[in-house]
Amino acid sequence: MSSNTITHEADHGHHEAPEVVEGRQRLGIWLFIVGDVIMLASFLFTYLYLRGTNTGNGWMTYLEGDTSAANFGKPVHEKVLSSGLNWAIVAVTVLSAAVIWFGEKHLRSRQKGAGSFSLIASLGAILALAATVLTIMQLRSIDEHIPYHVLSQNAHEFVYTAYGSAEILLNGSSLLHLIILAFLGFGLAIRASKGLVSSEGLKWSQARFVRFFWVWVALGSVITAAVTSLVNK
Amino acid sequence: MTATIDLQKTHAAESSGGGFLRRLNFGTGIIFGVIGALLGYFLPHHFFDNQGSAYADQCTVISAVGWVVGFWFGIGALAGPFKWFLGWDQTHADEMYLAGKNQGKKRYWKYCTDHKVVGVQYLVLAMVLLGAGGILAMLIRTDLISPGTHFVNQQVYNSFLSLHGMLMIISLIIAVAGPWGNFVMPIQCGARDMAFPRLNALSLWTVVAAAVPLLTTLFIGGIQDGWTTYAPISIQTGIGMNTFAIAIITFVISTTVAGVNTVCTIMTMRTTGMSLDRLPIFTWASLIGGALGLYAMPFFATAMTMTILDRSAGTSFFSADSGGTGWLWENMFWLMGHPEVYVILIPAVGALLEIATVFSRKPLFSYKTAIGGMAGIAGLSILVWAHHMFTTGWAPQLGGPFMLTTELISIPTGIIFLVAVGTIWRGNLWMKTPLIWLMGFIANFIIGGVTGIYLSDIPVDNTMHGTMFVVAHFHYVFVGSVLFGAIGAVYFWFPKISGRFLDEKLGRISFWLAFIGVQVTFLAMFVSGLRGMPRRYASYQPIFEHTNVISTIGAYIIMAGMLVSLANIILSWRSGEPSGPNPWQSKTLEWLVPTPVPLENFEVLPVIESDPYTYGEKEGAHA
Repeated sequence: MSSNTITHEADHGHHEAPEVVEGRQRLGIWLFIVGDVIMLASFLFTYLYLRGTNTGNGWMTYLEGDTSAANFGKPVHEKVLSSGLNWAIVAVTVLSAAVIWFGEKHLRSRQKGAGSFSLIASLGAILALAATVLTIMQLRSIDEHIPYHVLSQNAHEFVYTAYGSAEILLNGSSLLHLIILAFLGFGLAIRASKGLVSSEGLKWSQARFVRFFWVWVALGSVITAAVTSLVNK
Repeated sequence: MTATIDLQKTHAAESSGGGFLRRLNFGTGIIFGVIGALLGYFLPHHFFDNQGSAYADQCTVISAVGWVVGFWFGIGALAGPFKWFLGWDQTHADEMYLAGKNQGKKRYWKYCTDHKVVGVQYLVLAMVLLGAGGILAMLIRTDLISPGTHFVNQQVYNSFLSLHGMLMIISLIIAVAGPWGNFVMPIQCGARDMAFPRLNALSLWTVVAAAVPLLTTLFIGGIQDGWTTYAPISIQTGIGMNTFAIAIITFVISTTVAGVNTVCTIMTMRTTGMSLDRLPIFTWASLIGGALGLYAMPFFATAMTMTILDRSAGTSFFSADSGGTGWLWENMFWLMGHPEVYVILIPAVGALLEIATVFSRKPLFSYKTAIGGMAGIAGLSILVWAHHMFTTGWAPQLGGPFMLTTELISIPTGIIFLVAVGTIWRGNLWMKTPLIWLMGFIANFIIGGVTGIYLSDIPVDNTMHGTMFVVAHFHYVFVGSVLFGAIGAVYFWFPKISGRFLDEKLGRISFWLAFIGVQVTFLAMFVSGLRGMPRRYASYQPIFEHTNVISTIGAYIIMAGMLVSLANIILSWRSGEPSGPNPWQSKTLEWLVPTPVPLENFEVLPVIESDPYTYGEKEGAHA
C-alpha cells in the first residue's frame, strides 16, 4: 500500500449511493439480531439449566413458610403458568409480524403505498401493544402462586422458585421486546405518513429492517413458548 | 470575495440554531443524570413497600437506571431515536454539527460523531479509568506490605480489590479497541467514518454513563465479593452491588453497539481494492475482537440482570433454598469471562504486530497465519470457560475436554508469538519506543502464557487455584502484555492524533520502570502463590511477608513508570516535537493522510493496489 496507490478516484463526492448505505444498515441490523439471539440463548440456557439441576427439588416446589398457617413447612407445588395465555401471546406476536411483513411487501410492490403502509404499521404496533398487555397479565399471574418466606416476625417476603424466576426473566425480556416493537411500529407509521417511508427509491428499506427484527422477535417468542411448554414440571 | 462570504454564512448556519439539542454536552449530561438518579431514588417511595428487606436494593437499582437514562438524555444520545420516531430527520447541517465541524475543542465535550474525536475521547477515558484502577491497586499493595490490616478494614479492602479488578477489565477492554479502533481503523480501511457515527458516540458516552455507578459503589458500602462477584455472595453483599450490576449492563450495551459498528465498518466500508487479504493486521484484530465481544458480552448482561432480580425482586436464580444454584452464575460469568480475555488481548496484539512490521522495515511474517492465529484464539476461547471451574465440583466428567481445549489454545497463541518474532527476526530494527514496548510484550506474554498452560492442567489447578500464583499469571497477561501493547500503541499512533512525537527519552524511562516493576511485582507474586498464599485476603501469615514486600516495591516502580508516560503524554501534547504526517514512514492509510486528519479523512477515496506491508520491496511491486 505504497503512497502511489492513492492516485485514483474511487468515487465522486462525499455522498454514498443509497444501495451502499442500505447494505451497511442491513448488516448492522443482522448483527444486532445476532446479539439478541445470544441473549435469548442465555435466557433459555438459564431456564433449562435450573430445570436440569433442580437444586433441592426446588424447581417448582417450596415449603409453606407462613408461621401463622396450620400447614407450616408443608411442600407446596407451584402451578405451571397458563400455556394457553403463553401461546396467545405468541399468536398475537406472530400475527403482528405477519402484518408488518405484508405491509412491507405491499409498500415495495406499489408506486404509492405509503398511506396504506402507515395504517398497516399502526396495526402491527397495536398488535404488539396487545401482546404487551397479555405479557403483563402473564407476569402478574406468576404472583398468584408464589410462596413467601418469613424473614422476621413481621416481615413476609415473597421468594419465587427457580421456575418462577426463569419465567420472570423470559417474560420480562419478551415485554421489553414488545415495547420496542410498538415503538418501531408507530415510528414507521408516523414516518410513512410524512413520506419518509415510501415505495420510492430505497425509502422502504427502514420498513424492511424493522421487519427483520419483528420476525426475529416473533420467532424468539415461538422458541421460548415451545421450550417452556415442553419442559416445565 | 463572494465565495468567502458564502463560506462564512455556511459556517454561521452550521454553528448556530438547532435549539436545545445543540446545547447539550457533558455538563448537561451530568445534570440530567443526577436529576434522573434523584428521581429514581425517591420515586420508589410511592411504589414499593419501604418495610421490605429489598427496598434499599430497589431504590439503588432504579436510581442507577435513572442516572444512565438521564445522562443519555442530557448528553443528547436519545435525540436520534426520538427524532426518528417523530419523522424529524437530521439535515446535512445537523450532521455536520454533530460531527463537530468548526467547534474546536468544545467538540471533545459533546456527543460528537467524528470517529477521530471519539477515538481521542476513548483515549482520555481509558487513561482516567486505568488511573482510578491503578490508585486502588496501589492502595491494595500498600496494605499488603506487611501482615495485618493497616489503613483500611477488611470490608474496604475487599471493595478496593473488587472495584480494582472490574475497573481494570473495563479500561483494558477499551484501552486499544477504543482509541485506535475508532481513530485509526476506519482510516486504515479507507473509510470516511465509522458505519454508524451516532452509535459510535453512543458507545463512548455509554461507557462514561457506566463508569459513574461503578465508581459510586465505593461510596455506598462497596462490594465485597471480588470482581467475579460470585453468587450467592453477590446476593448477600451491600447495596453497592446494585450500582455495580447496572454499570456492567450499561457497559455491555456499549460493547455490543461498538462491536456491531466495528464489524459493519470493516465489512462494508473498505475502499476499492482493500480486499480482506490486504487489510492491515490491526484492522483484522479489531474485526475479530469486535465479533468476539458481540458473542461474549450478552452473557454478562444476563448474569447481572439475574443478580439484580435476585436482590430486588425476590427471584431465586442463585439461591439453593428455592431451586437456584451458584453454578449458574459461574457458567454465565465464565462464558463471558474467558472470551473477554481475548476481546482485550487481540486488539493489543494487532497494534503490536503493526509496530513490529513498521519498525523492522519488513513485511509481516506470514500475514495469513497471523489472521488464522487470531481467529483460532477467538474460536477456541468460547470453548474453554469451564477451566475456571475445575475446583468447584461442576461437571467433573467435562474436566478432561476443557483441559484439552485450554491447552489447544496455546497453539494459535504460539503462532502469534512466531509471527511477532518472525517479523522482527533479521529485520532492520529501528529501536524507537513503540518497538521497545513490543519487546517487553513478547517477554512478558511468554511468562503469562506458559503459566496459563500450567494452570490449564487439572492437577496443577487443583493446587494453585485461589492462590497468588493465579493472580501473578493473569497480571502478566493483562499488565505485562495488554497494557504494554496499549502503551506501545499510544507511542506509535500519538503523532497521528496530536501531530507531535512523544518524548523518546521519557518513553524509554517509562518502559524500563514498567518492565522492571512488572518482573519484581509478579515474579515475587508467583513465589507467594507457590508457597501457598491465598488470593483476595486482606492479611496473611508472616512467612509470606518477604515476597509481599518485594511485590509492593515492584508495584511502586510500575506506578512510577506509568506516571512518567502520563507526564510524557501531557507534556508532548502541549509542546512535543512536531512529527509531520508520517513520521515512521509507514505504508498503512492512516499515515498517508494529512495531520491533523480532515473531517472526512480523504478528499478522494484511495484505490488500493498492493498489500500494506511492502517494506524492503521495490516500490509498487504489487501495484
